[in-house]
Amino acid sequence: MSNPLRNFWNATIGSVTVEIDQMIATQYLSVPDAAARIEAGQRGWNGQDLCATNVTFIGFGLRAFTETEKTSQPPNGKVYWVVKDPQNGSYAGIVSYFSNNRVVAARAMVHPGGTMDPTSDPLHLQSSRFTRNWTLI
Amino acid sequence: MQRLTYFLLLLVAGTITLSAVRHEKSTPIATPSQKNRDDYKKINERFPTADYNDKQDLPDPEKNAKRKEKQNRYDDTELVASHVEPGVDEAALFLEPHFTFPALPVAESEIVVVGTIGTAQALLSENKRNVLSESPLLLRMHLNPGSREWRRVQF
Repeated sequence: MSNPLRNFWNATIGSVTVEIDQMIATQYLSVPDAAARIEAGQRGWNGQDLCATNVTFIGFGLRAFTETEKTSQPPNGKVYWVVKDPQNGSYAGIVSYFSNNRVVAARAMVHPGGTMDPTSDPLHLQSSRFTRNWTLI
Repeated sequence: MQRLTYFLLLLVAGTITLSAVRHEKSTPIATPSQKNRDDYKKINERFPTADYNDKQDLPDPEKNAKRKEKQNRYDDTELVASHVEPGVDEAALFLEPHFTFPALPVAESEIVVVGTIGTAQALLSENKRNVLSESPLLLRMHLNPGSREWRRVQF
């Protein structure tokens, strides 16, 4: 069922803290700045005159994640980027968690065995695309 | 001294107000009346729902064993979170690249089987980390002699 309103973040949530799996920094040899690309992809939507202007993505710190964190909902107001097979043959996937038809948290998964072509910049593209899906119709 | 007292009172009041506002922001909760809205109802009508706390056991032991066997087969995927925050009522997975079906090569096929899905029921896998659906399937087999005339066999 297509319900574009469900793509919005809860407007009262304010700043959304993004935390990145430290494995991402070393997992993809051809893209040593993978974390920076993810950050750039999401930060690019901050401060624009879009539907959820007061939702701002901040933080982008690296840290280790437990297996439970990689498969559970992040606390409300957080986005996790973790190295984990999203399955179904995809190289990336994101689980958005909704409350009352608005996103309140999300967990993005990047395939651990993926080979990245640095010229096509897939991490930047997917983080930008995921963020666009949330901020735009 | 009096000024310090007023300042401290103001600080305490401000902290309590800020704490209450932050708490309200961090735990949005869908009320029962919101869940009775039309959009919720439409989603529930269209998509079968599995109850996470339901044991899903069938009274017939033989049917139950078959169901368990099926549920076991889906234990290899982790789509369902074991914990969600209060107020969260839905989760959706978006994959990259988007999952698409290739065009069906109907003209090149001698037989085309068309399935119509009946009333679907949602189930959790045995380890509760995946969700699956089962439904009766009405099959129609079309023999395709060319592109002009089709014959149908219905099961």
